[in-house]
This record gives sequence, structure tokens and C-alpha cells, in this order.
Amino acid sequence: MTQSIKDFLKTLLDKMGVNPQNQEEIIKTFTATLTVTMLGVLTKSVPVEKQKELGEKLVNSENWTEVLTKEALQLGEAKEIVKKLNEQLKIKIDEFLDNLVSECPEEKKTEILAFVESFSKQS
Amino acid sequence: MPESTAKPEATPQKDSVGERVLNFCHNQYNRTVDFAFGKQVYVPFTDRKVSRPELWLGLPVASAFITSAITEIPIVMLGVASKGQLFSQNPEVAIGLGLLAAAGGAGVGVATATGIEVLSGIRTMSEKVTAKLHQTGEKGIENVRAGAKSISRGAKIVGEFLANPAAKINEAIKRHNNRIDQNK
Repeated sequence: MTQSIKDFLKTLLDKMGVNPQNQEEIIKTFTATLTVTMLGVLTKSVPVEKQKELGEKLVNSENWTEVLTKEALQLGEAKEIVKKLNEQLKIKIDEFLDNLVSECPEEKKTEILAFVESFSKQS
Repeated sequence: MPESTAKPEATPQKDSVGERVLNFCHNQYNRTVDFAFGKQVYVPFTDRKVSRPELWLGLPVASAFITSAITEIPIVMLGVASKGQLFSQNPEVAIGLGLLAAAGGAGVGVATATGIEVLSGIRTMSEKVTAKLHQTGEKGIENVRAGAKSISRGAKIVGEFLANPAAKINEAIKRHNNRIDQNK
């Protein structure tokens, strides 16, 4: 599957009649929400007494994502972190979808349903 | 003289659906920031706490945070901040903001390292949308059915009255007279 979450949402919002400027803002804000969710879980997974040390490592690193992920997984319980990440991301996605579906105009529902159904069936 | 074929420029239409979804997204983002960074954070280089990271960063940067989806602006800001005492004072905030600045998207690196299936998430998402749309569609049909039932019940009452108006009027007069008798 080559289509990204962004492409999927863009087409969906387009079919709902959302203008391009709002589409872009919605996707960016939602992406930022997912990223902040990940940050929250990762930072909370690092023990407080290790955070200063980790902060110093980050000063000397260009790829903070990699460093924090690696450290969080080493310092915390990897399975527990993944479980929490998935739980929290699922909550955010569900909230977003609930809102999207409730805002979907009645006259567009058939078209949108056909689009998402065809997407669901893709392998 | 031939008529001009140029079409008048389309006036931008009000996008109330988009506005409402966007408003929801901003609220969701703010709630998530509370979850990720806590309600209170330190102001860098001081012992003072503020209630929101947006205040810590300053409003223009906070809005750039959202609108540019983590691009160069926060990185520049953090580049300056990280040379000072920020990390030693509040490494958690620094780590969070730094990762946000460095991630530049939905954290594919994080996903790879932790085993989150980002791509399969798209499919799950579309399945959920389908299910929810079906659900709301069925509710709509149920409402229409309930409405039709109520109309037919009303029609039945009206039909009974029209079929035998004299009897219905007599019944009503009788009921009224009975009430008067009871009150005497």
C-alpha cells in the first residue's frame, strides 16, 4: 500500500467538501496531535532520574527521534511502551474519526462511503 | 463584437464543515499537549512555571508549531535554547519539544523502532470510517421508519374520525356532559 494517511485524509476531506486550505490545516494539526501523543508516552516512559542524562545526550545528537526512542526502549519496558503508544494513538484516531463522521454532510455520505469501502478492501 | 468568454471569478464559499473539523482538531491538539507535557512547565532559565507550553514558547512559535507541522522554526528556537540551562532545568520538556521538532511528521522512526504499524493504521482507519458511516446511515433509516409509523398512526386516527364524524362528536359531547355532572 503506497497511499499515506495524509493522502487518505486529503481525499476524504476533499469529498466532504472541505476547502484545500482547511484540509491542509486539519491534516497538519492531526499529524501534530499524533506526534505529541507519541512524545508524551515516550517521555513518560523514561525514569525521572535518567532524564537529565538523556537530555545531555540529546544536546550532542542531531537525530533526537532515534536517540529518545532507543533510550526509552532501553530504560523502560519496551512491550509496555508499545502497548501504551498503540492505546493512546487509537484514542486520538477514534476521537478524530467520530468527529469526521458526525460532521459529514448527509448528501455526501454515499460517495464517501463508496470511497472508504473501496479503500478498506485494498490489500 | 464577440461576447467575452471569460467566466466571473468564483467567490470563495464558506466552509463551515471544514471550520468545525479544524476547531475540533485544535482542541484535540491542545488536550494532547496537556497530556504530553503536563499542565505546568518551567519557563527556561528561570524557576517560574507557566500553565501552557504555548506560553513557554511564545504564541507565534506555538502557532507555527501547528501550522508548519514541526518545521525549521522550532528547531532554530531549540537550537538556541539547548545551549543554555534548559536541559538541566527541565529535560522532560526539552526532550519532548526537541523530538517534536526533529520528528517532522508522524514519527515513522518511532514507529519502526517500537513496532507500530503505521501503514496498516490507514486501512484500520478506513474500515472504521466505513463502519461508522454505515452505523449512522442505519440510524437515519430507523428514524425515517419511526417517522413513517407515527404518520400512519396519525392518519389512522384522522381516518376514523372522517369515517364516522357524528359518532365521534357525540362521544365527545357525552364525555363533556359526564364531567359536568361529576362536578355538580
